[in-house]
Amino acid sequence: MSGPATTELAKPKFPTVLKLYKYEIERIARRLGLEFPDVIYEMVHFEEMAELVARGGFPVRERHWRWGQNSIIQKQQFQSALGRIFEIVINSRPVYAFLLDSNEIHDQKAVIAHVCGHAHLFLRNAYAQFANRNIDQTFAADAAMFERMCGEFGAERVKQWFDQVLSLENLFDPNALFFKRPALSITSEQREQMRRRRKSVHRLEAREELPPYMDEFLNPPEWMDAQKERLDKEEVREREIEKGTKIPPYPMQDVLLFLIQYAPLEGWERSLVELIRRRLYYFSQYRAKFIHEGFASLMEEEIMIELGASQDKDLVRWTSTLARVQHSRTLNPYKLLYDILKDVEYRWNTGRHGPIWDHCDSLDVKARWDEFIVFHNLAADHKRWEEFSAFLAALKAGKLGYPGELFEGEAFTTELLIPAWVRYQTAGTEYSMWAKRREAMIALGLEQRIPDEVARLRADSGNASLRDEELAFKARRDLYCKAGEKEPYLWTEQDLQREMAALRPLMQFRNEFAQGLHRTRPIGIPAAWREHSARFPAPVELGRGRRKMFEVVEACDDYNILDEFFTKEFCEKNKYYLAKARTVWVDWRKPEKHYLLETRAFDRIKRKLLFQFTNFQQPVIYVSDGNYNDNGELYLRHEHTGVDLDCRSRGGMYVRDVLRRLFRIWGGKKKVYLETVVTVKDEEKPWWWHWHGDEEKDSPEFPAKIKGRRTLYSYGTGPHGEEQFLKQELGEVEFEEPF
Amino acid sequence: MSRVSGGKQDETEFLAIAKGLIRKDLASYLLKTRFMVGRDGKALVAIPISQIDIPTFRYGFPDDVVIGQGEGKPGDDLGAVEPDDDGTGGKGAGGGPGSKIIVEVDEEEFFDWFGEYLHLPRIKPKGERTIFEEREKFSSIHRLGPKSAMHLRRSFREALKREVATNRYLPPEKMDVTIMPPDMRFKSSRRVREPRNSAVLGFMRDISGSVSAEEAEALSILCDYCERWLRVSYQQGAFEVFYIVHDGEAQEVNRRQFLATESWGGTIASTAHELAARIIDERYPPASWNIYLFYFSDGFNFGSDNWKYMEILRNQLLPVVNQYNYGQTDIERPWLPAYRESGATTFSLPGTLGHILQRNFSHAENLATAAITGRDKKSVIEAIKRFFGKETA
Repeated sequence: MSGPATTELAKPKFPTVLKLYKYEIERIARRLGLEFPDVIYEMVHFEEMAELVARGGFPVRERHWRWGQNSIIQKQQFQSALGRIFEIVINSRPVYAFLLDSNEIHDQKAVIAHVCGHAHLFLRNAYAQFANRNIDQTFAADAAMFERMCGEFGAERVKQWFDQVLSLENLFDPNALFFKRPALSITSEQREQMRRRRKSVHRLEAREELPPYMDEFLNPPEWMDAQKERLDKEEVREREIEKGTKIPPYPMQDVLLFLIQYAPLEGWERSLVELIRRRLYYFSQYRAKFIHEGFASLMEEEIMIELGASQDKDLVRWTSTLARVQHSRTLNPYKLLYDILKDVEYRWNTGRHGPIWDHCDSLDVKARWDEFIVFHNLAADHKRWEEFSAFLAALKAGKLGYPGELFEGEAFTTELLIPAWVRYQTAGTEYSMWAKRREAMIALGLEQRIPDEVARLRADSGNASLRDEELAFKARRDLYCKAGEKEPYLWTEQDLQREMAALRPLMQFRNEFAQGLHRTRPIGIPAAWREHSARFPAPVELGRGRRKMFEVVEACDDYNILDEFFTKEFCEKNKYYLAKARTVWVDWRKPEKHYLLETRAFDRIKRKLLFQFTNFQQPVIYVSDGNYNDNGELYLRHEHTGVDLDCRSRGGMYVRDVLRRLFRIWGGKKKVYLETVVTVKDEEKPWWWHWHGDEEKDSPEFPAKIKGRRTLYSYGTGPHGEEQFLKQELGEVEFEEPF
Repeated sequence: MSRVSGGKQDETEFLAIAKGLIRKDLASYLLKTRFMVGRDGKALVAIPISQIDIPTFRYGFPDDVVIGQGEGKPGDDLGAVEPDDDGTGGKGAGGGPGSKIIVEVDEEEFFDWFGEYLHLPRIKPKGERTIFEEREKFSSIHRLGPKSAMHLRRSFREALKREVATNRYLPPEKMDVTIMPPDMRFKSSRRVREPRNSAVLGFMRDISGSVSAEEAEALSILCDYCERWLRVSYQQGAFEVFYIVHDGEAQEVNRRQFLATESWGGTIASTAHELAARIIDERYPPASWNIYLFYFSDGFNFGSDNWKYMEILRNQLLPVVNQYNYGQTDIERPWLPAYRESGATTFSLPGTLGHILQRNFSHAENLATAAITGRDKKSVIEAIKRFFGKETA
């Protein structure tokens, strides 16, 4: 790893040809509707890359051994060719992107295209908005502060403290940036109002006069008593809050903030907790990480196809790389989000959304949805329907610029038919727009000056390996930028010609149809179509996919997008399943853990999927009392949602050690508690159970009831002054199987 | 040079922590180490460790339920879950990507820890029998020599010099360099006299039973460590190993055969020791060799042979060897229960040899016994401790 040869590394150079392609890629990206701030690309050697990846992309971070661990892992993986690193991008202004110098040029082009997608979301995605724009400088300042503290208070001491706090790294409130916890911002008036409401239990009053004995049914006395008791308790708590004896007033998910406010910390200790918390909130934008990757891959694909029209060799190589990256049998979130975004575009293009789609039970309609939805929008206009029928026939014959073969199978037809139809509707106006744009461009007269500019650049650079068309990328950009014409720059003469050429057959068809040259029998309309169309009379906007997709990536994080767009159809189309690890007997002596396909039930898959994206797949833990037992003890509660905390592996260190560290942070005198639920595991079924699997066992009832024990872990000083870790059971609970 | 601040220091700090962990709990790493040669020819020990992670509250058993994509119907087996280190279930039950880190340690440093951990005294060569030896050492460069000994880098450098001098090397157009005969440089040897302190290891094994894969692995690890531990002590000089297997009769074999062979013959321990004595006599005169013998058996021997075995051991072997180590393994003999029931006494029972040695040779300084089982790999470590734990002359 550290041979003598690697001590002196020249800074890798950013190749000139790649720089030219960068201009072109950014032009295409902007043309496709991406908006992004300036991106600065840096070439780095793989060792440097490994160190950057280890530090989350930031060159200057506080000194810590876990960065060293990560970078060693990265280096070893790279050396044994286990993983490939393409790039790392950080959200600052300007955006920095680090490219690996050992990747080939065609990979680098794809990476630059990919980065454009990321940069668009840095600017646009709602969850990236709160990120500190100067985060690289903040981190550098933090690193300097850390260094200074090490000098001032002793490196050992500072590092040990820092490690302790890192154990609480996941205990923060990722949603706090986006709304105020209402309970924390109640004014005194509101509080007074709430108190008045609490004075008496709300009684249900009948609308009409009822005989008095009915009152027992409307407001059962037991219920009234229970309510009264609850309100009394609340009243007591509220009074405590008001007096300030309740700490924290309401359960608080941001444990780090709680510690900053209430733990007995020295100044430097507090600043270190603040340092960690600051970083957490910056990285909380990673809640949209997979949208980022999915969207960037999608954009990368489009840009590369646009770019690759003249570069077939690269296109093939790039697609093979992409295929390797995306192929995976287990869940690959990158591919999942990529598929989802494509699906969103497809659904909104073809009107497969809203009540008209959701409430459609008729197979007649669903099987031929594309034709149906056109029929629906045409609202029984016979002439237009005849036009559509002729249009479809012409498409299938390959007359409209689309290869006819595409419309033979089901797959491409549903994807392309409606966009083609939508384009056909607006072909005339679109054509005149392009023509106008072209005229404006010619009027500018910059295009003719490109060859001269290219010749000048060639004379300047003296690099024989650059081709003319590559130099033209820069030449065009220079000319247009100097002239201040940003909009015309995005479209080259070729692009415009291509767009116009695609429209011509459509317009020709329109004319010919008007002249009556295309006589076809209109497609027959099944009765079910009319029926369904009549149920939802409002027309559906078609061809909105692209706009919708952009809206979605701007507004969603990973959880939201899956919640909304991971539909049953999507799940079935992409063949997702849920697998469980079970003991199987490969040979009668040797039990082994194997994954068995558990179910293809959509709701269970979705529950598991959403679980994975909730709170960064970290347990939700609240500080519920900072003055437990009226003795200044700290009481944490784990919000149990069906999945236990890890209290077994490695001798239970993931509960015990964290509590020990928390105990130290909480002053080292008062006890700390953690309340959670521990599932009572059923005995595993005997080996022949799976062997003789039949239908009934394969589809057990869901959700099953699971038993668990409420458990209280505590860490603190025992009666003889020694530190002890205790486990106490509080009672049984029953909950539903989570997924 | 790296623009990342403190990249190397952080790695060094981490490696120091990792080495500390390994050193503290060496036993659990000993069986996973891999011996290798580093880039600069230094002997290294590669130790895979699992990621050190900072404890946080986390969900347990993250890999019990997973989502996948593809064909299949409910109940299909999708393949094994990768087992974790501590066998607690799915991979990465300890969280994180669950990747292994390979920590490279100098062999010498490693064996320092090794000796320290097992409280092993450093082995001292026998007496003042150091003798000098003449041998060839490649230490200089010559213009003539066999092709196989060509020093490629030096030759290339000469060729490059020549090309540059004759103006034929013109980057970037022409960058190919051809090595012509006058450019060639060869490694050449010199005769040197060096003190020699040679050691020979003899491994013997009873093969009259079936060896399970686990057993063979345990044995191979044991042989490996014995060999390497001694090699560290005998860095200067010759170091040789021979292997003997025996059932009814003994024969010399190579390492692979030694670990894998099995047979159904009888068991006569003395044959192997006779052969060992003969080999020592012929090839390794005790005056110039330090001799270490290892014998692995389940202690099950042909009854009437026990006496002869003791005779050979007492008269021919113990006086000349530095150390005689006896490891008692539990080799599987399917016919044994039937034999026991039959009440025959042709063979003494399993474990007999161990008893004999402990009873008759407990005073012998250069004899050690240990029990080895394939199922419990820790016993291998214990055995090493027993073998080398004694101060040897």
